[in-house]
Amino acid sequence: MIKVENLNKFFNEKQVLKNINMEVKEGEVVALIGPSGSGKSTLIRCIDYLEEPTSGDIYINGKNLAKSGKDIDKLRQNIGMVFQHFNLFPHKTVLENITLAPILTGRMSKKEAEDKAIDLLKTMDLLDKKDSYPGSLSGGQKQRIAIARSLAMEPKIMLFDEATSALDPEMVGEVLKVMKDLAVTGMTMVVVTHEMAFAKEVADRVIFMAEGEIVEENTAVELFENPQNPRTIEFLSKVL
Amino acid sequence: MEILELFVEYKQYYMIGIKTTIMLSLFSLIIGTSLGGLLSLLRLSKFRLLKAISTAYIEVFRGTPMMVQIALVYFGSYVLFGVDMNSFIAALIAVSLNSAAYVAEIIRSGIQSVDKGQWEASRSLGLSSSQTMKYIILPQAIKNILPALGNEFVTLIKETAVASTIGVLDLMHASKIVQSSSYKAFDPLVIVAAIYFVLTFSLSKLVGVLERRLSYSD
Repeated sequence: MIKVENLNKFFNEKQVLKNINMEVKEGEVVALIGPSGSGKSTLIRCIDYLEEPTSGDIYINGKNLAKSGKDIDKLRQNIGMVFQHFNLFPHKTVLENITLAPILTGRMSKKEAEDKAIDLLKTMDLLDKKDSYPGSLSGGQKQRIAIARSLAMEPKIMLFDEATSALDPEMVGEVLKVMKDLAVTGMTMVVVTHEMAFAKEVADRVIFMAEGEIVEENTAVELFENPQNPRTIEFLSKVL
Repeated sequence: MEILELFVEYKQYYMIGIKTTIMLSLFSLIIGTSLGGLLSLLRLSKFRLLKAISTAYIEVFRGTPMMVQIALVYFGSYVLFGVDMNSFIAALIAVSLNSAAYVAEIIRSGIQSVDKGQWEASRSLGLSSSQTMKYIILPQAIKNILPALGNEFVTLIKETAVASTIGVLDLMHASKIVQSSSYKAFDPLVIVAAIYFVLTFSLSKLVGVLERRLSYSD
């Protein structure tokens, strides 16, 4: 579903991604872990083409992102992205935040989009907030709305870029639960996270990155219980 | 109440002046803001040439006095193109071009004040760059710049007074006519100052109302 080949990314002189190769199959949940500055976020942002790779190719369902030109918008409609800082639209109500993209992209009528949004809000237990503005919500609520906003486009892939890092500790759980429920439905997910317990429990596969490279990847159980590379061992000993 | 009597006596001149000043301000505001919006997009564009053209325009028009610009348009149109330009049109062109430069900078700062994450969130949902600009960035930018924009519009009304130097029958010109026919130097100026103030103050209030309307989401 997602295929990354020989991906390199430079910010000016600094190389932040070094020859990354990875593949994510349909329905698979992959967690990206590693110390800050290891390139996890840059990698996930490249997959949504928010960062342009310096070299290398990324394929989404066989389509090359870099060669998609104007079709990039169409490709992105199948990829949901959840950000660390939520990035809800502050001038729109919760309902409008969720219905905006399905309506503007012509994917749904206004009625369909609103029905879909209301369903999503119900599953998030946030229906009473539908006419509120994002400014009045808590961080955990904002992030769940942001997830609902992405899901409203009925994407095939969901990307989570440190979705719980900006949250107060007591709100992390509610967002992780939504992500866990989503994983169970068979959604293809790539999750950049510092929540090791979550990665261990939910991810099918875990990729450990350091200094712009994939150092080690394995099933969640193997990587956490039997890490091979000394850098992985050192990292895990600090965070577990 | 000598001043009021003076105003009533020369009411016809002031009325013409008010009408001309309002027309000149209103049309310049519309043209200047549209052109300013365009210039700000050019300035933020990826194409170096467009960026350079826009930057040069803004610097030149901000860096020269409006009085010089108005004279250049009025006399220049004759010297360079042999066109005997109507003084109102010349003033309209000069004020619009001048205002566009300031508005462009205000809009640019407004666009840049919107968090980059807004752009990313919108694009990640599959919206195009023009949809993102129209539905996500500009509404937030306009809200942020409304006070500065209101300021610029007030300045614009006041600056139109320069049009009197090329013979446009605006408020300032009206007061000069009244000065010379009534042999009074001071009172006509007080009247004209009061009228300008009423115009700019009403505009400020109007912008204030708009600001409050746009703050619904706070």
